[in-house]
Amino acid sequence: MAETRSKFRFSRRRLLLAFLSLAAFLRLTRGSKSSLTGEGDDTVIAGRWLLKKSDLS
Amino acid sequence: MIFSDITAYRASEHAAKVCIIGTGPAGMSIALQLAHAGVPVVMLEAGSDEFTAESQEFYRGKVDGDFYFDLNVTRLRYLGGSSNHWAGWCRVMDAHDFEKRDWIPNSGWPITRKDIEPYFDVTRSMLDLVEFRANKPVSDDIDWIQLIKSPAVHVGEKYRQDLEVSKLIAVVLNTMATELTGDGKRVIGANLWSLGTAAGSIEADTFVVCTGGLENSRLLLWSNVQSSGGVVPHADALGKYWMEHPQFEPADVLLFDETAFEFDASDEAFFSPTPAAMQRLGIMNFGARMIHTPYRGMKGMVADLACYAPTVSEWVAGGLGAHLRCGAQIYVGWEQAPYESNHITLDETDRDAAGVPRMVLHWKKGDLERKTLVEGLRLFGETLAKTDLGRLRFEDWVLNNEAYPDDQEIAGHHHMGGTRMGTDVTTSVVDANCKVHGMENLYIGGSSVFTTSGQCNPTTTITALAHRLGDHLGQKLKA
Repeated sequence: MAETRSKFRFSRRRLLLAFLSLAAFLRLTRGSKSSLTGEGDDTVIAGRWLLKKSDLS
Repeated sequence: MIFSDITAYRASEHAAKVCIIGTGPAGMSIALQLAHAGVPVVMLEAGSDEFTAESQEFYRGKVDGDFYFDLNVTRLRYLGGSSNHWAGWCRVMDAHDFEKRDWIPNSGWPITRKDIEPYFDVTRSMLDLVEFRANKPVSDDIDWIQLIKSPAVHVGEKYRQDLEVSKLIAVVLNTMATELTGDGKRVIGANLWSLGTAAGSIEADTFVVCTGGLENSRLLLWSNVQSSGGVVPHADALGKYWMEHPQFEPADVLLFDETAFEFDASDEAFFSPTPAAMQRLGIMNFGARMIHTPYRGMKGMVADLACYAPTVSEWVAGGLGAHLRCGAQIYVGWEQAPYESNHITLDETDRDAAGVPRMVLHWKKGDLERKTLVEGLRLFGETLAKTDLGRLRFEDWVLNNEAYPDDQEIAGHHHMGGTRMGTDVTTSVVDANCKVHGMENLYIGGSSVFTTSGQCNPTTTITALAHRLGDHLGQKLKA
């Protein structure tokens, strides 16, 4: 049961990240109106989201 | 002993050494400490033992600047003071809140947190608090902190029976101190207003003003006008450096690991930047409150969908007969810098029924508050991303540097400063013992003495500081 739950959670997370990345990508390609921008070592503000850079790769 | 008015008190044989003006958490703490030391005290309560609109009317005033609450709503004027409507959230200000921080103007208390630590036990007992716990690091930048949800003790109710039988503490209801009289070295007495009429004055060896973080300034400003500076002889800072805690809902979070944090009974967890991160970024203290809604199964999927496709999720949630929120909501409350420009003045064209000028609160949030909001939030979001605990989404008004919304919490009803503590008489009103500079027998209790505001709810710090003042006075006066 625990293993099933774990797999479900894992796949759900991947699915959400994929959606989230797509949404952020589309927002980026349309051009963000945000005045809050910037990158950290591992993070980036994309659209309204603060993402890991690897989310977009 | 509890008296219905000053006439009834005068008919008693009670002889007080100390007159405390106000019966909220600060006044009550000081009275209890003095009684413990055997010092007789009289406490003046301007209101009665219950809420009345007539009493609240005395608190009406004006606000100039940022949107703020009505001044007759944001505080309460009856036995127990504003403890009668507080939420009960408790945390003592952090050690670094007391320190001089070069990036925050006018910061630095003349005491440290260690000076109030001996009074934590009595504070916990008074406010019915669990043990304090240390912060737990989530990253190098963010700590998971404790904010105690206490039973929200109403001090007037909790101590009413004790007060009724006390031989040392006399509470006098329906008795407002309209002004103190003084000669620049000592307070001589307090003029009174009771049951709709002037009611003479009261004298005592020592006076302690505990009427709240707004009213302390008003009472002392008016007293100084009437006595030509005889009550607060060094008045440069009187009424100034007033502070609040801005509180808004600037983000939400898509949370990947719901088990990473121990949410409390209200499904909330609290976070704050580390002192090193605040120093590195040049920001003030900042508290993020994450409210988790633990949806499961299909509801969980739809709630997560709400984070990136709100319209679709609303349609799906409608099919489930539910309104589901995106992941976890983020509420933030943070420190406001003590600016001289945030201050209280008297409006002599508008007076209350006792003839005391009403106040005007001049209050604005500054650039440093905005920077703290944005960078504090970014820091929290970066920690979530780097640790893969979740992802943070900003609200548009934060992202686009728009005006603060006026349909959110706005602030905490936390009234701080106005009679701040310090060593420089030009930028402070009281010394490290809460004694008014230049006066021998006038002290101030409550959050008006805060030098800086920290990020947390102030009542715990108010209570600890007040017990310290009460203990100090008890030691001094019991001989």
